[in-house]
Amino acid sequence: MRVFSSGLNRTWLAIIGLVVLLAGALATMVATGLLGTVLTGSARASVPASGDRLLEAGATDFFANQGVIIGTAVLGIVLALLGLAWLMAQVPHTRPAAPLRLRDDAALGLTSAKSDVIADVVVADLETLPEVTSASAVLRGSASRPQLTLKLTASDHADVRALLNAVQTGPVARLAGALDTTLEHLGVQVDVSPQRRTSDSVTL
Amino acid sequence: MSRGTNPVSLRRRPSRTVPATIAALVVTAVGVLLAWAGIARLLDGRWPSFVGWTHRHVGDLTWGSAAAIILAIVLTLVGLVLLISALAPGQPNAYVIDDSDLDTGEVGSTEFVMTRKAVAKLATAHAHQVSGVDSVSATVTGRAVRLTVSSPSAQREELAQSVTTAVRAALDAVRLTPTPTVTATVRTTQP
Repeated sequence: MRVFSSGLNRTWLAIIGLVVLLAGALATMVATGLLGTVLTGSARASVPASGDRLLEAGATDFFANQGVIIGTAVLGIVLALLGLAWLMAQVPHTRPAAPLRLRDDAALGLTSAKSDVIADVVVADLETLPEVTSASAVLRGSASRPQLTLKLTASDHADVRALLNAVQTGPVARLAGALDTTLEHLGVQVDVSPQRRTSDSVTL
Repeated sequence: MSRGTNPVSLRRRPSRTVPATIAALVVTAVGVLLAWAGIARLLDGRWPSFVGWTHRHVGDLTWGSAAAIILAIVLTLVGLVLLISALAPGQPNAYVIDDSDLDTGEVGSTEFVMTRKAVAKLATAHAHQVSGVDSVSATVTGRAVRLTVSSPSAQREELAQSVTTAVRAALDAVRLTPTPTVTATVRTTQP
């Protein structure tokens, strides 16, 4: 029902993972002396020796430079903002439709309906079906191309296929009729709730 | 269409929320520390104390020291874990319900799914109906349903077969895609 930031997470985890992996592998090769044995000529001379410090003495002068200090602050602000945006993207959202413009006529005026109100009507309709124990709905898209996503909870001995047929010929068909269009997409997630059993029930 | 051009898929792979949240927190923390250090240096004319601490404890390490080697290996492993968490496909959260014979007259496209958790509940409920079953637990992966049944009966193989048949019939009636394999293991309990 809800939208997760799966693609964003995978992309950034892959980018950061690759950068950290390469940096770590390079640092390991330098620290173990492996890089010095692999490289030759002038490239070998630029590899730090095992007795060299991670931050050379010249680093202090480098970080005293005004441009480097400003760059550090700007880089920090950018990283902090990107990190916060990524954190906020972890919150799943339903992304419902904006109010549906059912009729927009210069002579007759504008008729619009909130998508959550229509979704509530669909849920009420679904819950009249005998095998549905609970339901929720999200309406996305527009009035001319609506997309309906449903979550249905049925009892564990319900005939799921008959229920799906009943949903389409009943509440979904009535919604399409009310909007005077066909649905662009229908998604249904079926959940199951255990039927209440009593201690004196008998299974044959 | 103003919003939601692509339908939201109900069958999805794991969204990697845990590693992404940890990585985002680390990126934010590093950003805040860098911004704090840079701004403090600009305003006060000296770096904050944590910069000196880092310089003393990390910057003064020599490349050949054990601590530097361990640090580099840890960095490599962290990168590897992040990369694997991004690239590993993970199990889908749901099975697709075959809709080829369902009435879809008022709809352009459809997607019917049953979550793995719901499949586990369905399998458990139908296994429970088999005579002799005391308790059932179900594990559902992307292609298999594994049931563990407790029963006072010593007829383990027969009971496992009955449970497998009952659950397979229930799942076949829903017509899940891909069709999960069903296996049952029976443990005899003291009556």
